[in-house]
Parts: sequence; C-alpha cells; structure tokens
Amino acid sequence: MPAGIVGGGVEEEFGHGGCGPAVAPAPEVVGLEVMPEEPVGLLEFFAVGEQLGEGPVEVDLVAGVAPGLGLEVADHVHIVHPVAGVLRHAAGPGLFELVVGHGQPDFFIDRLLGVAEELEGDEPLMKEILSKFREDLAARFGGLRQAVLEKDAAQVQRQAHSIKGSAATVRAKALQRAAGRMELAGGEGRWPETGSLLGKMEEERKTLERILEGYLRGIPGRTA
Amino acid sequence: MKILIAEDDSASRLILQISLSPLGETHTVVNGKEAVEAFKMALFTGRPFDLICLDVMMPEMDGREALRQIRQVEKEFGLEGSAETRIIMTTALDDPKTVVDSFYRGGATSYLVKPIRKNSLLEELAKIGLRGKGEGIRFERDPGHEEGFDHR
Repeated sequence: MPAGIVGGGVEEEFGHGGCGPAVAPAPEVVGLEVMPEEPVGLLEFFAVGEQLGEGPVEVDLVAGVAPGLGLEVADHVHIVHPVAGVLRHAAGPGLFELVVGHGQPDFFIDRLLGVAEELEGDEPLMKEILSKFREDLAARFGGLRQAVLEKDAAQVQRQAHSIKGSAATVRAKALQRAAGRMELAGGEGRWPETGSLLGKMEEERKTLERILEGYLRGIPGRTA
Repeated sequence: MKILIAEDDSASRLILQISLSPLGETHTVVNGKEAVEAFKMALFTGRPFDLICLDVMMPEMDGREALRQIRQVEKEFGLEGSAETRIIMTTALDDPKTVVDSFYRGGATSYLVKPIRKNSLLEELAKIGLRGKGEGIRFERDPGHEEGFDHR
C-alpha cells in the first residue's frame, strides 16, 4: 500500500551553499504517512516528486518526528521526479517528515553515512561524535552571537573558525561554508554582512539539528 | 608510542583519539597552553611524546605558539633534527599562508586539513616514519588512553 502525502508548507532553506542552481525554489516540507499496514523494513511511496512540480527533486528525510508512534530510524531517501522513491529501513508506522529541496542540495545524511562508514560502522561511536558536535555547536553559536553583537572581530573570527572546523568534521558543508564566510566578514569588520550571515548560519544549524535529532534517535546508545 | 592530542573541538578530538589509540598511549588536552605543559611534564619525567597532534587554532594559546614553545624547549634540551618530537598540525584553515607558516617556518613535521580521515592520517604517519606503509588501523575504544592530561 503506497503512502500518501499528508502535509505541506514552506520550510527553511536547506543545502543552498554550493552546487545548486543560482535561484532555486524554496524547499518544502511534506509529511509522508506510513500506514500501519505497511511492512516494516521497506516502504514504497509515490507522487511526492509529482506533487512538488518539476524536477529533479531531491529529498532528505527527517525521521523520528512522531516518537509516540514508534519512529526511531532516520534514513536518506532520494527522489528524482517523477520516479517513485523508496524509504529504506522504516522502523514502523507513523508520520515521517521530509525536507525537500529542488536542484542539488547538500546531502548531509549521505555524507554522515560516509563518516559512519569511515568509523567502520561503529554507530554508538558515531552517536557520541555527533552528540559532542551538537554540544560544541550550541556553545559556539552562543559565543558567536555575543561577538557579533559586540562587534568583536577577533572573537567573531575565532568562533566562526571553530564552527567551520566542527562542521567539517561531520561533513556539514553548508554550515561549514557559511561559517567560512562569517570568519572572513568578521575579520574584515563587515558588520552588516555578519548579521545576515549569522541568520544564515542559524538556519543551517536548525536544519542540522532536526536531521541529527532523528539520526541520533535511530542509533542505540553506547551505554544504554 | 606515546601520543598527545591538542584539540578544542570535541568531535575532532574524539575521532583522533579513537584513531590513534590502537597505536599507543593517547593523552588529550584542549588548548595550546595545556599542550605545552603536558609536553614539558612528559619530557621532564623522562617519558616524552613520540607524536603530538596540534590544532592550529585553539583558545588560550593557539597551535602555532604552542609549536614554537615546544620547539624552543626541545632546543634547550639539545633535542634537534631527528630527536625532535613529530608534530602534526591539524587545521580547518583555508588560508595556505597560515599552514605554510606553521609547517615550514614553525617547525611542524607535517600537517593535516580537517576533516581528518583515517586514510590520510595513516599516510601521514607513514610519511613521518611512525607507521609502516600499508598497515591499517582499526578504530578502538580507549585501549590505551591515559587520563593524566585529559581535560575533556
């Protein structure tokens, strides 16, 4: 039984920093309803690409948005209009949320899985690394906000540089690029630009947080 | 092998620690000042580090200054040339000038640009004579980690 589209709306921009077209339509969020009758493990879905208009359409999945329904696994799905896609490893029934972008967005989850591969599939270790990344990121964003507010060039540069390094470690390229731009702008005292870049970085962080939350929820803890 | 990892980014520090633990005893610090202190303590107690991974940009004291101070201490102890500690600078910097300054003028043995990948780390260790070419590393959890300088 194919899943149906149950939601819609405009969401923050995702993965806009690099290789996509110069003017891409804003990404959308759609709900993908996994019906209780669906078999666990594999879910086929249709019509998402068609509904979103002209393609190619690429999709990153944010799972775990309905924990009460038993969703625990995040995965990456890829749709090229108008071909139907496959959601792998669906843990169970519920409502999944898809962040959908047009063109060639940054496929963060893909790269994240690449990092996990480099760690020889040690998912608990991956979970620990990502948890530390999130903790560091929260602290550094606090420092960056303060530094921009105070127009402290050295601190803006330092905090942005740290965020750039952290983002590089987990292959969060859009955030890495935005932080790199902030590092330059801060160092040169281009304050109006640092304000808009901060907003851009906050958006990227918000998107990452949502993806990571789902991803982390799907991995067993090292010391459960 | 005794290894010191100086890195303020928790995730990078953990990856380096996990990667290098199979090769020996790892210690971690979070800034350049702590790195210099740990280096001195190890030297004074007769158990110096064989390898130091030093992040270029860290709080308190950055990696370049730490590198300078470490090389200065070594000089005072008559440790020069092949007797010097192998130091790999790690950096997220895009600025080649900074890297070149650290590498060629600052006395680093080598450098790696983040994200640190297992293969590039292996290659670099082989280049600087700390690992046989083609030898692999399995990621292991804390087999040789010492808490002495661990400021996580």
